[in-house]
Amino acid sequence: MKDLYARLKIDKSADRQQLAAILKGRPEWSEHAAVLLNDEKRALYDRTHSTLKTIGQLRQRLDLNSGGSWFTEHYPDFAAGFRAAPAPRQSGPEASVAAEQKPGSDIPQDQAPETPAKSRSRRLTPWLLVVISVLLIALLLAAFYIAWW
Amino acid sequence: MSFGNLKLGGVSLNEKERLASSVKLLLLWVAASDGKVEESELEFAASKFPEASEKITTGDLLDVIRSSDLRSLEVAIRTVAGESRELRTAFLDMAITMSMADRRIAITENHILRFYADAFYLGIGILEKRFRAICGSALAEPGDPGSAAWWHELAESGDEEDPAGVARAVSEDRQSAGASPPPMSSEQARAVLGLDSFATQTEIERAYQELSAIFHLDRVEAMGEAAVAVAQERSDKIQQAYRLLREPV
Repeated sequence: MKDLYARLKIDKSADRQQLAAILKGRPEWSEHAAVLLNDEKRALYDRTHSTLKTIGQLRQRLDLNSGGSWFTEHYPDFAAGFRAAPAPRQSGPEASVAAEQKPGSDIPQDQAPETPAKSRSRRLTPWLLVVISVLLIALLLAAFYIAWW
Repeated sequence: MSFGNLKLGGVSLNEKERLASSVKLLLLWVAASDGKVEESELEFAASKFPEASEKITTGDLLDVIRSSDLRSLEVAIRTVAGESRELRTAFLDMAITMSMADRRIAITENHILRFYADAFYLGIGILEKRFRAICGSALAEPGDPGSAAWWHELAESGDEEDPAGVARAVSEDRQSAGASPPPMSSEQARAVLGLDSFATQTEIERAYQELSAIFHLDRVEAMGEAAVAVAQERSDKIQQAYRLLREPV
């Protein structure tokens, strides 16, 4: 799904007359005009648009867009922060929208709940320290034993 | 409200409250994403999710959704993502159930489920597997409501009066929440167990055993009252469907 409002450079709150004026004389947009100029169809498009926008921004905050994924591949218009490879310049609805640059998470790192990977590594660290300490003590004892003999 | 920094009205949430509120918020996002966050939705949510804490009410959580409060949603997602794989999978099961509460999965619900699968380190493959296990049908592609071709296909499929629906029903209509439900038909009972009309007695038994295990209350108890409410409702339906379909002993 494309972000039709971003591609048309028009506010989402634009009324039907404004949209009709913008879409007039642009035959390449006929596929989408049939949706945007129909209240019922536009309502469903708008709901999906809002949900994808929120998901795209959350994905950016959770760093799920940075490496590319099925979402950035299928919904590049909504993948905030994702930079796709530059495409040839186009002016119709197929022209891609530069991903909006939004700041990442504003939750301080010390307050953000941990991911499973972080949590696992935190659980493992004390055990690793204990094992290393035991090995060092054993090594020292062995060295003393050898020196004493 | 400052759910974002894990506090509400200056009162910090403890770990258990934070998980329960996060689960509730994320399940409500699924339920409310089809654009019906109105009074009836609030009543539905209140009847389904009894308040366990006065710190964050269902109304507060719906406000988070209405205002697309990214910070609070992010905290909720990180909270659930930090739990065990078993609990994250159980959450996904409850979210799938929630998405099918009104007999169909809306496009927006479909997108949110796919997002949860990624955000909870489970992946689309697990989501598709769990969806099939719970609903007995494949999770459809979300579709593109911005394209006239998609609307045309929808009209041809005869599903135009239900434009947001792309999968078949498995549970009671949410509008009936609170009212005494009508008796379940044999067809509805099969849908609840994710079975077609040719299912054998062995398949009915197997579906019942599998779904009972998925919605066992012990599996979701740690996630708080919202998850328990979803599991309880679904579990009751599964029992009812099984009683109707099993052969008399």
